[in-house]
Amino acid sequence: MIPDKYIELIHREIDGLNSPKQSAKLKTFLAANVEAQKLYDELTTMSAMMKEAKVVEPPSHLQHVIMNALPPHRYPAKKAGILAQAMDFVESKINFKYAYAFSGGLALGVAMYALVFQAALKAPDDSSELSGAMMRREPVEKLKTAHSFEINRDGVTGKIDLKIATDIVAAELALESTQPVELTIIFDEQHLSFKSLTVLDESTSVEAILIPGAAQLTHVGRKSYALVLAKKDETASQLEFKIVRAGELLFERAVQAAW
Amino acid sequence: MTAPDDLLLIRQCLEGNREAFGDLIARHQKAVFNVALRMVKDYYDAQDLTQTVFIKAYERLDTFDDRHKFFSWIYRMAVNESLNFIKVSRRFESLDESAEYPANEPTVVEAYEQSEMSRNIQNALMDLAIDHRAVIVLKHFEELSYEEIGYILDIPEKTVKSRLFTARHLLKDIMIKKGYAKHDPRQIH
Repeated sequence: MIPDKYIELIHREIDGLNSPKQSAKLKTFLAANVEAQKLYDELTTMSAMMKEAKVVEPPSHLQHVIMNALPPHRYPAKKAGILAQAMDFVESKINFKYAYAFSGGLALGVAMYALVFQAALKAPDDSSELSGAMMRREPVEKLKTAHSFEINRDGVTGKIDLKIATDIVAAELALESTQPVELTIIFDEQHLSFKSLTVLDESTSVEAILIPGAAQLTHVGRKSYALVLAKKDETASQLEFKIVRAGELLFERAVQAAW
Repeated sequence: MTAPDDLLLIRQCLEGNREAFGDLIARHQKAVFNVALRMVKDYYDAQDLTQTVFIKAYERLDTFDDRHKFFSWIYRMAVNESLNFIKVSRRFESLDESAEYPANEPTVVEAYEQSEMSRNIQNALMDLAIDHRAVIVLKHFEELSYEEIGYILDIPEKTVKSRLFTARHLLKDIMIKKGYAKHDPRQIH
């Protein structure tokens, strides 16, 4: 049986809270008490094991994911000094119900005008009944396939087509994999900007992680994706495709986004 | 008291600078993630919990009392979220007891799994009651003081001490029973 006060001293010693005098007192007691020495050894061993246990790194994209999930307007930016006071004064004096009434009236007027003069808005050679700003007269420029390559590695099969038009670069990926794989598409942010990433053959949206210069998603099963990037300039930049499964790089290919 | 730079970041965030919150995440995500991981064991659940904790912290940032440290405040949320998660998931434990890690584990998880000692400690921790587990995690892995643990768990310091002492004894017994630790202090598995 170990007296309570020595049990407490053992715990305090492990936590580094004992004074030199208390430590010496404990040491003397432990030398004379086998049971207490055994308890002390076991607890210090365990404590050392926990100290040596590895600290696990969180995933590198976690901060980005959290930032994207934050509510957008929780803390609005404050207006600067004098200007802010002036704006507050103006805002306090204006009665906005007149502004709303005016805006409402204007919108109604535009709608009425559009209904009454609908015929006049029609395009002269348009037989489709479509009219107004939505009509597109120029033919949409077709995407041309610049690169096409197949994947067949350790249970992951598929095809990647890189298509290019004047303003956009599109990557169409058809993949099949029985086990989940991480697909990463890296692009040069200086010359390309992300526009969209969609699953082509499903109604569900794709859960992609967007980090500067890359789009990443977890793929499993049989799916096709379309990644669309907008060209910022005429420079032909590089796109890189990577497929990783459980830390193992299965596929890697870098191509120029040019014909 | 909160470290001046944490306080500054909080102030900037409340004034509408979202990026300042990004800095707070960068500074504390590793600790929050590891607390969650020690509590729930699953890498992906820990990831989700970390995300939840930071989103809640952001939403409640204007209620933060700067008499406390920011990390204590956020640890408190991490522990509470983990405890709630464990309570809820316990209902489903019997349905799928083997689901610790999915089939494709990231490299970090593999590394974590490969460390036998880490795995042994984690397995032993999971056999502790959640109140005992929390106090061990905060004391031995996060190296917090009794006072900080008391604030995080919302219990008096005296209770922290007695709970910690009991938890240590229980954990030691579990580890010996499982063959993870022997009586000789040099024999660390």
